[in-house]
Amino acid sequence: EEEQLLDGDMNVNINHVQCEEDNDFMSAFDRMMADSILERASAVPRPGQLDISVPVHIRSTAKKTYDQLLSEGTKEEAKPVVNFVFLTRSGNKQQYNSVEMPVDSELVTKLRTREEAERAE
Amino acid sequence: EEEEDENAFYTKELPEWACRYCGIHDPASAVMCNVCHKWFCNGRGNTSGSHIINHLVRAKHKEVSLHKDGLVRDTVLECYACAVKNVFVLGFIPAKAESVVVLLCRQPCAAQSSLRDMNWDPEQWKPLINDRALLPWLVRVPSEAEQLRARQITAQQINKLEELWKENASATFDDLERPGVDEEPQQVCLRYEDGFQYQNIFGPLVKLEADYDKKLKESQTQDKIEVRWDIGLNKKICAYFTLAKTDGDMRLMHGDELRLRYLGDLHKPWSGVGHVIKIPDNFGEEVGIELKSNVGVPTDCRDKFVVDFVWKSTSFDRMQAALRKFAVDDSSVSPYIYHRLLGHVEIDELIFRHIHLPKQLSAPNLPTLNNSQQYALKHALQRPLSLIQGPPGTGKTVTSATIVYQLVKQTGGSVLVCAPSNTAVDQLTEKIHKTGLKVVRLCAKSREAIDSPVSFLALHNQIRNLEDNGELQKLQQLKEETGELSSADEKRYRMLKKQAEKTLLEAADVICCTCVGAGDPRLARLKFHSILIDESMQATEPECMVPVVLGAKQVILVGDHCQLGPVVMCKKASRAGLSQSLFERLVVLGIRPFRLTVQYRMHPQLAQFPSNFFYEGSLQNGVADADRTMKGVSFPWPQADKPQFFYVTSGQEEIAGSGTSYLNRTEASSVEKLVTRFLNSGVKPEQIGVITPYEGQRAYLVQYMQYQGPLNQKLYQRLEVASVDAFQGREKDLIIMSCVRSNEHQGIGFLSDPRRLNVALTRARYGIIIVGNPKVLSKQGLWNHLLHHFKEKKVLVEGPLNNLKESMMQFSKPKRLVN
Ligand SMILES: [Zn+2]
Ligand SMILES: [Zn+2]
Ligand SMILES: [Zn+2]
Repeated sequence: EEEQLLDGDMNVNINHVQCEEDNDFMSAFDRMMADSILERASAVPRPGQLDISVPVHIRSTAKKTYDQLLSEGTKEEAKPVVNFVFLTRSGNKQQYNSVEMPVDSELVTKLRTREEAERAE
Repeated sequence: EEEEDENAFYTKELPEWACRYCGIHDPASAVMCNVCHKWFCNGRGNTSGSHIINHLVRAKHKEVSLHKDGLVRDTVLECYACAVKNVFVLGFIPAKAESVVVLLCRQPCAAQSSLRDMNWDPEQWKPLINDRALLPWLVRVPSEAEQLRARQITAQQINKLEELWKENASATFDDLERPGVDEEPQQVCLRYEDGFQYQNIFGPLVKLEADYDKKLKESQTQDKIEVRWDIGLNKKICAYFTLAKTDGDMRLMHGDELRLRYLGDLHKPWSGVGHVIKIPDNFGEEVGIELKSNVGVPTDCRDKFVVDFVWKSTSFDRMQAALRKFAVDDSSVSPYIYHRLLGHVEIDELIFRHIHLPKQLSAPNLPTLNNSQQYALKHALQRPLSLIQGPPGTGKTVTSATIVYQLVKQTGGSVLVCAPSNTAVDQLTEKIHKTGLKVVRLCAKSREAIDSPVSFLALHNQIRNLEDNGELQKLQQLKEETGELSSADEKRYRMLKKQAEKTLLEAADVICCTCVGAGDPRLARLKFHSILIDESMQATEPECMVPVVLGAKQVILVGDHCQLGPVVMCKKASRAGLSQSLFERLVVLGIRPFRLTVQYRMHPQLAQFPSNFFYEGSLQNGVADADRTMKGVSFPWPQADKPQFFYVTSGQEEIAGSGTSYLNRTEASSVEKLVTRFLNSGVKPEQIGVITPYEGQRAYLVQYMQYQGPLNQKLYQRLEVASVDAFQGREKDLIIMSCVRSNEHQGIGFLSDPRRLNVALTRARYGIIIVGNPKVLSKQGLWNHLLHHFKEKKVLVEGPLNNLKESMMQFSKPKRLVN
């Protein structure tokens, strides 16, 4: 069971020590999260802000079948990954980063299911 | 060998981006805090959040950048659409058919339905922070081996380091070892040798609290403030603006000082200080201040303002002065009071035998006292030091007012009446005024603009209405009309005002003010032999000493150590015992408080648990079931004769670690339905109080009800939604309490303090409903009792409001019994 725990990246928490300070941190985290969300609750988007279509030149590289993605993303390492394009911005500039998603992530699974469904049609 | 390895790891010069906690410095794991420019890793070490998240939460910073050689190159994390940078609201959504994801904020950007038409899949929005760490594909999580090899910093050390950074931004882990950092202040005692020892122990604690308060206030500067200008009735300029909610610890109060600065270029640089006259409430989140001076205010500018919190040392200075006076000035209190307060029990209890008790144990225009109140009155009149315990609804204020009346009649001298809060002082002032005594309410200068039911008794208003001082009035009028007086006139005005104040204060039978208000220079020359402090369990000891050292020979402390104690924000000072009230210490010393035992507030069913659990079953009911049954209100109480129930909500919303369930939407919607049901059945909004633990939840509930509730928004606005602490000392006809989810780790925090639970349970007159999750709450001993109490009464229920059914939910075993 321990083995499994260390397997997923998120769970590397080998020596978790429970203490008052850590509990305080967890409640403070919850509060910060809640306050941040609340602060945005009534925010409304400015017109024109939401034109976030996928840029054309990204489209050509990003539109690949799941199998293609899998073959190019996988390295010799044990854990297969899939390359995704990550759209961010820096000031007024749009940036495109390639990121590696674990092949067993929900995101990748969903993409595959969709593709399979399309193929079946 | 291992140790050597570890040493080598630390002594090696680390790059800039090395984690300031643990030293890990893989660029792919590194994140920089944009506020303080320190780097942290995305590993948890032995805590339950990654180091960067630990830092952001503890320092209350919210924006980050990634390393240029990281998994995602050199970027400030910000919403792709609106550029908001708060990582706590950032997340991403995938495209429907492509392997593309985009960084978007949760609200409003990811919530737009139009995204779907652009081939995005907004339903799949996921936060960047998952399980209290950044997503591993964005910032690498260091491997187990790397984390084991890094510095094993503990949560305690992280805390201390963050504290150190507040004073010295470049402090390092090694500075933690520096002597002095770890020093705990001396603990308070039960007994003290003398006034010097007393001062030596309390002085440093007051200093700690003052330093903490100062740091907190000064760290609250906010920029990009938009201002709306207005003119007050007294011709003073007022500024209104909205502040971001940065921190739950910081409560803005009427009378606080804020500094407004203009940074734009439409006007020359300007800054002005003002007193807070409006705080965020149901009617709006705006804060209002009244500026001290109207000169040069850039009222034609609207934006580019900065707001600073102005820290004032006045109250702390007054406490320190009182401690000093207690130590060195032997006329500050009578010898008997001196020794008793220090806990010298070898002094026999003194009773004033020469006192002739009045035949009429009441006061004009106040209700006749019941038996226990009469005994309390006699008890207090006959002793130089007495404690009167007033459980909720037992007529504490009327008893206090009657005691004050009798004291004045007996001694002929003036009596000083104090309480820690302005609200409590006002309540008591109103009652004492009814008896026909000459009362002066002394307010802090910063609060003169704030209206209260006893404004007309305030010293500054009594001066205004003085009949025989034409010159003073003329000058005052001139000052108000023109804003400013010539320096000669100002001098004359101040002199006349001082004289008038002195005359009024000397002629008063009773002077009422807050505890720290008693340190006002205007009272410095006066002596008070009799002093009554109401709600005294809510004052710290040094706070209580401020009035006491004005010459006390007879001290009456009214309070209830089973309700909330003083608020001490500095943990160190609180741990050392500053949060224990004088009332409490005197009880521990063996001075028996005289308890009022008849409660007139709660429906007898509601009083049962508090009486049994907090007052050894001693509370009797001065009201009958019929007096506390709402006529003409149909509400589906599960047991018609028991207007209370526990409304079970399940914790399905508890998405591990994301923190969003903290808001507990299920509970909010239950509260809204309950409120709506009451309003529909003819209850007025003013009759209902909603208790929620945290400021965040308050704002959410207010918003939720006003926007989601089916009735007119204005109705929900008139409802009071506040914390337990804000309801202390007050009552409502109906109370709805939303416990808010508490996760396994967190415990139930605010509600585990028995005194807070007592206060929460004793605010309602006609009915109370608790909304919460019994599974979690029952782990705590006290709550376990309460839940069993509800279950036995068959009022632990679940299901829709029109079909409430007894809940069969099994409780957890209590971990330990508090109390
Ligand atoms: Zn920072
Ligand atoms: Zn680290
Ligand atoms: Zn956005």
